[in-house]
Amino acid sequence: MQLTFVLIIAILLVSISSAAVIARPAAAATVAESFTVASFVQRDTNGDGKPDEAEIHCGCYSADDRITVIDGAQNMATATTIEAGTDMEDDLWLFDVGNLGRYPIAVQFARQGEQLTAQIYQDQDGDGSVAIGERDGHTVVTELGFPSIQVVALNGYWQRDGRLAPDLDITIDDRMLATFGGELYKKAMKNDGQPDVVIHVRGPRDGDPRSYDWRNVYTPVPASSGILRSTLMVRERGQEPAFSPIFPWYLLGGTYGAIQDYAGGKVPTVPLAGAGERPYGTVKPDGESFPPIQVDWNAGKIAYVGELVASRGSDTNWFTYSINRIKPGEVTEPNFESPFAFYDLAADQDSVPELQVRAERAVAAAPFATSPQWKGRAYQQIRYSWEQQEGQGWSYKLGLLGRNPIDGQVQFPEFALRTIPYEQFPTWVTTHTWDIATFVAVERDLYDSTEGVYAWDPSGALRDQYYAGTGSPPSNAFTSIDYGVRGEYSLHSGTQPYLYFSPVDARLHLAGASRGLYNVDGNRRVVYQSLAGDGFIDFWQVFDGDQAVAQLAQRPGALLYAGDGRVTLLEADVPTETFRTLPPANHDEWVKLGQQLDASRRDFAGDDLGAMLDQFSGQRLTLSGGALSDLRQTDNGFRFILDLQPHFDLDNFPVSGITGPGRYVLDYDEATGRFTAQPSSPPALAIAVIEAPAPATALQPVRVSITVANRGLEDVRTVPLIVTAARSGSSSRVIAQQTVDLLSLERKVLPVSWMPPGPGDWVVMARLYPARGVVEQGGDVTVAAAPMPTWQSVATVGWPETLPLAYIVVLLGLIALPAGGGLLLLRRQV
Amino acid sequence: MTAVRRRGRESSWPALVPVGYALAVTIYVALRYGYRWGEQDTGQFAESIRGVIAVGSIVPASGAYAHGYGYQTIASVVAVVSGLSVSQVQLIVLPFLTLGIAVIAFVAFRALIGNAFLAGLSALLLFIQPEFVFVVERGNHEKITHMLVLVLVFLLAASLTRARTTGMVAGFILAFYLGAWALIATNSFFASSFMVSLALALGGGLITLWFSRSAALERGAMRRLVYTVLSCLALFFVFVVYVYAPARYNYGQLQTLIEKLSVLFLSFEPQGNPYEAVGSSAIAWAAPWVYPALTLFNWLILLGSALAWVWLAIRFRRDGLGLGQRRLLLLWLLAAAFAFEVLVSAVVDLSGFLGANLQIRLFPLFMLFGIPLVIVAGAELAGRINGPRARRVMTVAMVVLLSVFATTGVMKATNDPLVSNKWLFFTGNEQRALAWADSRLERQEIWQGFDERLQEMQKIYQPVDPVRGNRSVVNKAGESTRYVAMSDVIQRRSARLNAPVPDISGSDRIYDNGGAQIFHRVPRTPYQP
Repeated sequence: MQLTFVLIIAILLVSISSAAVIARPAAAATVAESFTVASFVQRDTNGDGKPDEAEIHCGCYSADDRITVIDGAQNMATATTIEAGTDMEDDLWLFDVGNLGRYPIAVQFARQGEQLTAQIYQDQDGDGSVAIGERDGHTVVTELGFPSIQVVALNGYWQRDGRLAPDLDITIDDRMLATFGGELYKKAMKNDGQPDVVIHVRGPRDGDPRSYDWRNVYTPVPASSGILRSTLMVRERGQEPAFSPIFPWYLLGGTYGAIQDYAGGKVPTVPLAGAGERPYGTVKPDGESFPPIQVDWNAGKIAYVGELVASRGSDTNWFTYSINRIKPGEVTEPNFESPFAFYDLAADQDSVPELQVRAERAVAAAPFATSPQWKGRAYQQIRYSWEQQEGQGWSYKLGLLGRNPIDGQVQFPEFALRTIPYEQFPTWVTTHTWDIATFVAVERDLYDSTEGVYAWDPSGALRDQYYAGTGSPPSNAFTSIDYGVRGEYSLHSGTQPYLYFSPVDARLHLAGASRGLYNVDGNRRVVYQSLAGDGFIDFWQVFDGDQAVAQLAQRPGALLYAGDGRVTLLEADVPTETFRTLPPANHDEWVKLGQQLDASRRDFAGDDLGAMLDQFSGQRLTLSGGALSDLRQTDNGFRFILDLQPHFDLDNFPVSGITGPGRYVLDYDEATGRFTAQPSSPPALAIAVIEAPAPATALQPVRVSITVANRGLEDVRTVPLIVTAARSGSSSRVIAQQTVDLLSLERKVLPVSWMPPGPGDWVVMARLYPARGVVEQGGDVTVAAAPMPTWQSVATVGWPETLPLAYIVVLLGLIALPAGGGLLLLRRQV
Repeated sequence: MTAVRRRGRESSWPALVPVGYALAVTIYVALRYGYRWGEQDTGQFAESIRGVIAVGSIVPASGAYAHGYGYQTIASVVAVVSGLSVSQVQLIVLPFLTLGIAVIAFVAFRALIGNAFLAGLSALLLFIQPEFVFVVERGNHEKITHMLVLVLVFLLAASLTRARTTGMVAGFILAFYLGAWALIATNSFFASSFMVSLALALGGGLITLWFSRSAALERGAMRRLVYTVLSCLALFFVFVVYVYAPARYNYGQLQTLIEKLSVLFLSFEPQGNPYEAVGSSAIAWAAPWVYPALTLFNWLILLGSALAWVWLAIRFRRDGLGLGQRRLLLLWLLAAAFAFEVLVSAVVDLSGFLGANLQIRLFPLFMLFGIPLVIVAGAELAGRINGPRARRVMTVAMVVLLSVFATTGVMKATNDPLVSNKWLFFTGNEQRALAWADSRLERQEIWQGFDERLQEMQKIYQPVDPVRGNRSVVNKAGESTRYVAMSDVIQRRSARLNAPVPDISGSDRIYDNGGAQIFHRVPRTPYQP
């Protein structure tokens, strides 16, 4: 009974309190419950019998903060509360966090018609406090310089119900981080009366449910500088989350964090209230807001102006970060990231996105490209991550690279963007074709990130060199991946980003992938390959460190497994895919994919190849005491090297030609279903001949043909080949280097282009470097001198059809003039 | 000094000799390559002039010349009034301003030396000096700036030696400041280095007068020189700070104090150096002996002027600074001042502080005073040769030397391919091939030879269409360069430089006009154009 009474009283109090907040006058200082007021005292400093100064002691940022409010219009009412005894229309507020006896921040409020303004000053002269003084009988800020921030509240009020007014104009004129990536131009920001960053925040209006925060950077930097000149954060519908204010004026807050976040890791001079709990910076976390103007109270300087509309922290938001500045009244084609969008695939409205789609763009019209190879050309690099399994963070990701036209426009009252509209973006990605594709599956329990799965984005040299057309794929591309993450890639996709479900490993794969990698735990990994080259993964290899411990190959009508000292051929018709799908672009597709995955789920690990084999039934033909390597496809089936141990047992394995332990080459004929074995021989490399067509001329390309051969029965791959050329008496120079794959008994001719720098007898030397030893072969090439141009051909350059002698005559005629004139003058003078 | 004073002090007909030779050289330079030549400064100014014409302002939207607007403005007016193209104005019309330079050089030298024959000879030698001929014949501001420097020197000398009345003095002073403003407006930092030279000359003059305990007249003249330098520096300050924003911006961009001082004192300005080695100095010229042969005239003038300067110093010391010596004192001081600047420039160049050819830039300016100094001393020496036979031998020797130096001078000034490996010309076939490539290709890299030769051709004669976005590549052709321009000239240059052209064997020849071709290199990956 007593408990019930207390609850009723509590509910009544909360209701009254809420009603009071709603009923408050627009411009009055509203106080939420997040800070505590220790005292509120008013003073009459000019002896007119009315209060003109108030001092607030609160637990706002630290346990003891002092806020002095100086009446600006002789309208301070005698009161005992902040709300009644101060205003944010004409008063000057001075903030002394930690009650240290100085005011690092001052805010001068004013009203301009229906709008409110606030000018925020910070210390400029290094004395740790904003200077104030008397002017025309009023107390004003006399600190050197200009307001660091000016805010205009267009709606005529600052804050309500734990939320800021929806329409604000903010001008930054000082050094602080006010946009994402602002570190790049922060040094050039200064308090000089010129805006560095101009921010427009707008809420829903006229039936348009969107809210947005648009920031343009005007800090003078070179035109070629790749800073983000515009950032735009858009909420498609609804309101930004409310937040607990730190100070009575909601816009003002502070930076928080661990002690080591402060310079040098020293103990902060201001005792923190709730340190490490509050978010701060420029980017909002999922489902949270915070006071945007964040002061580093230990330094007494404004550190950030955080986003008022979330870029990432929601499932209905999107943003654009552009190097091209968004111009008012124009259609701007943004470059870098546009759009970068987040979606509520699960329709759970929990502010945590289940789909993230990012377009990194180069646009043809940009005068400066992030990479010179892309100057004047456009591309889109897509990151499409979604969470399929609840609580995993992100489950899958597609990385796509293509050059598709973007002709959509997104209109705003002040400007327009040439970009893909939010609602269409996922479908736009899945319906277009892409040249290069990667697919990443998160195999571990959690992948947490505000921007999706970063692994295996098709970026860097792959994009800026290979895809840009300036070279081969980088050798280090897709050779490693985060632990617990599986990736696949196709360098020549050319299709929509289809995925298929393999019944062998019971996992989603990228259709068209040529290879893949799964980093199980940092040491153990699975390597995927499409041996047939048909876009389906059909070969799995498990490595512990560098040691192959298990292999599984999927062949028409059969599965071949090797591991644990046995080799098993399972005769079974296993389809290449269970189902095929595009990545989910909406709730229904997401649900459907989830159902398909659930229906096909198997309970074995991604590196348990034995379990993958064991799930299928069929005739098993097994030998024991043998190890398999170098599996590859042949015209009739496939072949591999079998290393038989002394205790081997062929059992029912369908092979002929085995005579005892040792290394064998086994060829499998799919027509007969049998293996043929022959004793293996190691790779035996040879350079047969080096030829160069005669006559070779200096400075003219010479096509050198190098014939290499592998006379062994085992394949050899990525053998370095270095070709040098040397003239007698001079050091050799490298004219080509590459790697060579040589299958068993293969012979191939490698063309090498060489430009002899000078004439003479040259020796071209080719060297192969297999695992052991060097194989080398030299060839003599006689190079003739490049023909030097005749003086006649050079003399007549301007007039190719004339006689060279004419040039001599003209020159002599010219010379005659100074000779004659000089003679004349000399004779008169001397 | 008897030879100097003897006769012909005020004659004008000797001007015909340098003017006639300047005319002949101008025609020769133009015809040597059939007007198909250019270099970096000409290219830069072509872009700047087009920018001025496009916006009708001395500050174009892009490509503004940071040091001044004078030359571009004159060229723009000529182009608009005559209807000629910018390239025609730059390489056909304005080079004839060298005739004016020859006239003013004669007048200025006559004012400095006091002898028309020797002044004519000095002006003639000026047009034999290769660096001077090169800078006044190419399409940049230097034909104006050198002319203005000579005008200022004449006015200075005349105001010190001829001004008899207050009106004349006022006229000379007014004309001087107008000329100074014109020089500043054409190249403010070139002007500032000239003023620094004047200041140096002034300093030297004050020291000399102090030693010689000279008359009040000379002291008055020096005082006027102080006012002149200070006034000119004030004009320079007004121009840079208030009149021409690109100059202010350019100065503001300089990072270090040494850069700023170099701009003010040495007229530092990164610019094309036609004599820069192509790869290394060993292959800049057709043979190792070529460079010494082509620069022998310069070395003789340098040596001669040094000796003459010492001889005059001894003479001033011995005879004092009488009224008749006043003009020679000015020549002596100016030669020393410019020699000092060249020396400092050479040291700065060698130190590698600044990547520009300072000594090349200031060397022709020094020659304006070095040559008359040598001529004055040479005349004095010649006057002491007795006997008609000896004089005849000397005359013949001088004529032979003049012929040789005229030959080497004009060949070096034009970077004639017979002697130089730095070629400035191009052919009509190359022009047509690149015009075709730019009209057919989009956003492609096109290899165009070993240096900027054809790039400058495009700047001067046929600007690349920015909408098509093609880019030229020189020297090395990387994998991203899918198109190669080839020509007879490039092949010949390859042999001369011993530098290979890109491997185009197996490439598609997509254009051929007989003298130049465009090749498309076969793609090696699916993503190569």
